[in-house]
Amino acid sequence: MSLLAPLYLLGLLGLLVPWLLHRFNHHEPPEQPFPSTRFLEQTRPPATSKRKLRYWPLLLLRTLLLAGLCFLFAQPWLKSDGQLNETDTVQMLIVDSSFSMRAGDRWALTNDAVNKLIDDLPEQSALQLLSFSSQLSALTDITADRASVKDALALLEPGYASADYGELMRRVNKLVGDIDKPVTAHFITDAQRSNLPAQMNTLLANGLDSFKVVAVGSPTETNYFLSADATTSDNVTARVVVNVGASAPSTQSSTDTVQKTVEVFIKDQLLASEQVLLAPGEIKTVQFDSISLPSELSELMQVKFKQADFFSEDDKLNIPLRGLSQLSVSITHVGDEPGEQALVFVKTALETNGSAKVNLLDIGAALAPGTRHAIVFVDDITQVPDAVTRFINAGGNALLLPNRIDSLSGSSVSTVSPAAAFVSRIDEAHPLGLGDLNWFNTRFYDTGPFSLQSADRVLLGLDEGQPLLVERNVADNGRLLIMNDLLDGLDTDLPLQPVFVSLMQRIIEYFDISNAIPSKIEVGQSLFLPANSQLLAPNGDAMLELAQLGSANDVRVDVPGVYSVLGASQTNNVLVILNPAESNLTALTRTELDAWEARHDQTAPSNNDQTDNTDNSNQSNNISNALNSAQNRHALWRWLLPLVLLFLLAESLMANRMLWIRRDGL
Amino acid sequence: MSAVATNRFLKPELLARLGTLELVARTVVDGVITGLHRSPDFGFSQEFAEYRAYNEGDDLRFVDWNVYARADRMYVKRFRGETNLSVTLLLDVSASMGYGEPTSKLDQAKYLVASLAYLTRRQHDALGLVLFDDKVREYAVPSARPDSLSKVMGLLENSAVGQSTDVVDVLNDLQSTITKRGLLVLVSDLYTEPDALLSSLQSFVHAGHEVVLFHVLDDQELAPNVKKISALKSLESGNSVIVDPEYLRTEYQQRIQDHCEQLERSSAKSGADYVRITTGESLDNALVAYLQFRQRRSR
Repeated sequence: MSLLAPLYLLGLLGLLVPWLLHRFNHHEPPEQPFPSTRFLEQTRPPATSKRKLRYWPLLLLRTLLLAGLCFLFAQPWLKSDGQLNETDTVQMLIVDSSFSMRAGDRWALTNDAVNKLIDDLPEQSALQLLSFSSQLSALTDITADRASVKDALALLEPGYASADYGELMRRVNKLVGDIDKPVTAHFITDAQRSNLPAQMNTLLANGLDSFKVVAVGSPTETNYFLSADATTSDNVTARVVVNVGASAPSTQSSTDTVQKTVEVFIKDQLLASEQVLLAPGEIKTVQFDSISLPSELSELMQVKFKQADFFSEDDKLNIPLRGLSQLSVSITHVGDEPGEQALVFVKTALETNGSAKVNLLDIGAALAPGTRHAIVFVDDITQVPDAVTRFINAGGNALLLPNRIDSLSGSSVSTVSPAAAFVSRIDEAHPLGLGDLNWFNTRFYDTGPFSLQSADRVLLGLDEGQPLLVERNVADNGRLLIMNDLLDGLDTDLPLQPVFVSLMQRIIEYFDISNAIPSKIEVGQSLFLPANSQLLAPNGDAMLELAQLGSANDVRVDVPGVYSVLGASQTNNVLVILNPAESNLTALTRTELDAWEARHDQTAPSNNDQTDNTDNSNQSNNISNALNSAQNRHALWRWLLPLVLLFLLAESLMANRMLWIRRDGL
Repeated sequence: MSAVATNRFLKPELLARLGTLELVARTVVDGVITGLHRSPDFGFSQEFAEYRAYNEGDDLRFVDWNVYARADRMYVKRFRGETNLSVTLLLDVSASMGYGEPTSKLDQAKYLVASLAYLTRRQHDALGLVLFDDKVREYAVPSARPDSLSKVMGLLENSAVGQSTDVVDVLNDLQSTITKRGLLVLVSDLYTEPDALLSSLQSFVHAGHEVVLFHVLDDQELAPNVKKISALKSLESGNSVIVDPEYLRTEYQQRIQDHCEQLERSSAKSGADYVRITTGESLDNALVAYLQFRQRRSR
């Protein structure tokens, strides 16, 4: 018999309590009046030996009860007498299908290894084939039909996603929990060191009876890989940072450095190149600070090695040129023509740094369904035009600006301040982050009264109490901001201050943030698409069914390349890149793999674990060893619990009677 | 005496509902007397006893004029009751008499004493009362005055349990106080040495007194219903004795039974009458026993 939690046996010290109670507890008998004690005789206390004898059953029951409770908490179990046959164990074949398995002949070796494993297992063994990259997928049910397992294996191809061994063990453990038989997992993998989790303790699946790693394709050659990032601030020059690395082969046949040439292209036009010396296992950074961009810009750049190695798929990658995307903003008016100064100030502020592309359109075109962001000059900003309301309801975002000073107040008399007013009220909790801007010395000489509505949120206010910038909640789809300023440079110097450019750009970014789609994600990750959006794969195939378009979707992308998100108003390109860690083919040693296996082997000594030999890991190994044998052990609590309950019942019954006597007699 | 068969058995708890002790006494005594058969041997003071020669000063109402007509001598009828018996009731009001539920021994004793007092006055005897515990607490000198009954009843009504008891000492003290021969009725639970009691009683008997002992006990006292070992606390001394129920079931009952028998023997030796009553029974038996005693005395 073994105990899973032997520390609970310390509770046996509690046996002293009933012993002491039986030893020292004295009860005074109840007192009753009586006419005379003349004929009474004091009852002689029972002799010690008699007393012990008398209460032994109760003491024994209490002792057994406490001991039973302690053992119950200690979780005793017995190893099953009959050893399970291998046919009683589910053989789980987990094939690593991550991107690294595409290197060289690894996949062919993997197929051979799995087929050999299937053939070596005993007849009638229950098998299940699973693949693992970023997710664990069951390719077959648990079956004894080997042919079907081999057929499923033949259909399996390595993908482009990355693997995390910690995530693998977590998912395996969860899966094993649903299987009522002991499970032996065989993990067929290239055992990349870069796939190890950050925390080694996660490399443990408690529910497994046994875990074996079949390592295939130990690299004998060095794989060179790269990752890069490109930015431009002026659309003229670009800054490209390239990280290059070399995996370490298992056989250190050559430690010489190799000269690799990194080239940067845009539309097949070589923009820059640089040579770098790489030793096996080394990672370096190559930085191109100022690459002149061609006149015909493209959102994508290519970075690649000039000389491809044996694993060519990671020698070239496309990267987006960040800073090129411009937001399209329409400017229009309802009513009178806006002032020319205000128009120039707004357009200039938006186009500064090339962050937005401004179009002056009439009302119909500006607020058309394809437009996302609009700046609308109106005669009376207190009255939101119906066209603007419809635009907001359709998901558009608008900024209302006044085009006449005499229209601000809605009355014939405007408020003319003898002295300038300043910004004194800032809603710093708003995503616009207006508190970060420098409003010092921004003066307002003439502003009209503004009647706030219940749904208004004042983002900026003047020290006279007048709201300057207000957000009005018109609809959930779009946003509406109202600015109570003419922006003519006469009644206010706001458009003349640097803060104005920041304010306008933040407003446009705030408008755009709700529709933001990432420009780059890794293979295996999911892309969130808003409703009425379609995702086109790199080969142009639509990835969503028609029925799915009505709602938002989470789409997992498994192939690298440039994906297109077709929205109602615009098209976004999303670059799906490989995880650089998958290109580092440096493998774990057999010793390390043995240690990993040993964590799941209850017969192996725990000191074999060299990957994590801390005390905690040893302790967790001991516990896990015990847990792993769940299918081979008989838990004794099923018998112990009724026994304890029986003791409890008997103790209660007996104590009722005995305590009486105790109270009477002691 | 088969007369008791028709008596009304008034249980003490029923008597307790009656307002006063006098009413209790009347109810009990009238019930007992009514239930008795008329018997020529059973006379009261109004019944004729003998003739006596008329002496000067005798009440002319009692002169038998028929005899005078025949014999030309004046004879006076003497009645039995005219012996002017002095009855002294001695009631133990010690703390131990407070035992018993719902009727305590003292309650039962009060009912008995009240009944005896009423019976005594009904026979025109002189009535006296002594309340005592370890010493005499109240003493009403025997008197044949009409208000003697009410006086006795008043003392009984106001009596309460006192301290510990010492019957022998009290009897010894009373020997010098009760000089007129008469009837002494001692009502007590008699927690005393039988031999000492015998000695005291014999002194009274030798002095010409007649003595009746009413031994009042509670049923729980005779056969305690105690199921677990308990500390029995004496009502008089306050001492506790831890007693095993088994002992109470066996040896104790034997002891108290022996005590009662020894008291009875001692009473018989001293010429006293011994009657045992319990709080649970009616007073009829006690009264009948008393009347039998009076009958024997009158022969």
